[in-house]
Amino acid sequence: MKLEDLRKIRERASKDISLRKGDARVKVVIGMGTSGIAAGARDVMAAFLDEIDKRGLSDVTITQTGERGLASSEPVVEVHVKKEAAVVYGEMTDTRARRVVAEHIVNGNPVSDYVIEVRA
Amino acid sequence: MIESLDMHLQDLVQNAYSAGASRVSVLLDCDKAADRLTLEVSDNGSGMDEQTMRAVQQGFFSSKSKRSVGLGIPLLRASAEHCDGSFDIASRPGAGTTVTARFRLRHIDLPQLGNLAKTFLNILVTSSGRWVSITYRCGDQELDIDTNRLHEFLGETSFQHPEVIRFLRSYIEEHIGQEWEET
Repeated sequence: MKLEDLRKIRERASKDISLRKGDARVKVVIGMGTSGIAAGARDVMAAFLDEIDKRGLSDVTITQTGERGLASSEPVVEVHVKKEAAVVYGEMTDTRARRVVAEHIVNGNPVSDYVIEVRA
Repeated sequence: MIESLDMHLQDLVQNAYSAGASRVSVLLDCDKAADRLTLEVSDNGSGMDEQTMRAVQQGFFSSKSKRSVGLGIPLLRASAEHCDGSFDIASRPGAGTTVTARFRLRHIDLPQLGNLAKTFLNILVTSSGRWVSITYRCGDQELDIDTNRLHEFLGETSFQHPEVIRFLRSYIEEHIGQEWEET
């Protein structure tokens, strides 16, 4: 594999303008402070990235943030879908993250089992 | 609990991002001849004064006053020192921070490397405009990757485009010889 191959991806991706404009339909924020990482946030982030790849989701961005003050519920993930209330999920795992991608991000139905907060 | 080196690395880089760094370098080097493993994260973030550095190394400190956790650094320090290694933080306010942990490579309690591919991928795709470089050298495996070089080839294409994620993951795995852990 060569990094030069990224040029081809760039050409193909030039049609997907939403990520380039920083105007993604969905923003996922993962709490990656020390306690979040200790509780499994690193693998939760990897699961989101894996699902973005497998499902070819070109309108989702993942960002990380430090401690959130919700230590008892970590790993914590916020999902912001454009024009909708932000949903905060707690005690996330690899499997739960994949379910959130399928049901919430793709199909538009928040996974109520893991919701700890909804921010209007 | 943070134990393996991949988790420590993710934690150190998060610290650098939280310190407002625009430049972060990550080094993981296994030197068999010298029987030493070196883990180093260097950033140009806000840095720390001496008092803060002491507090950080003792644990239960966080620069976010609401929270008083922050056990990542003392755990890494204890682990390095236990493995006949050493631990250093060099930092000054406004001049960034360099954290270096050294371990004896063949020490029986050397922490596991863990899944470095996941951590490296996470670090790259959340670099968000920062200049991040990763250097990994272990045996005949070597990875040298730098977000500025990636931008040269990708232009404005996001590191989080699905095809870019797939490419980076394969590239990282090829160069560090670690399989992506399927769950």
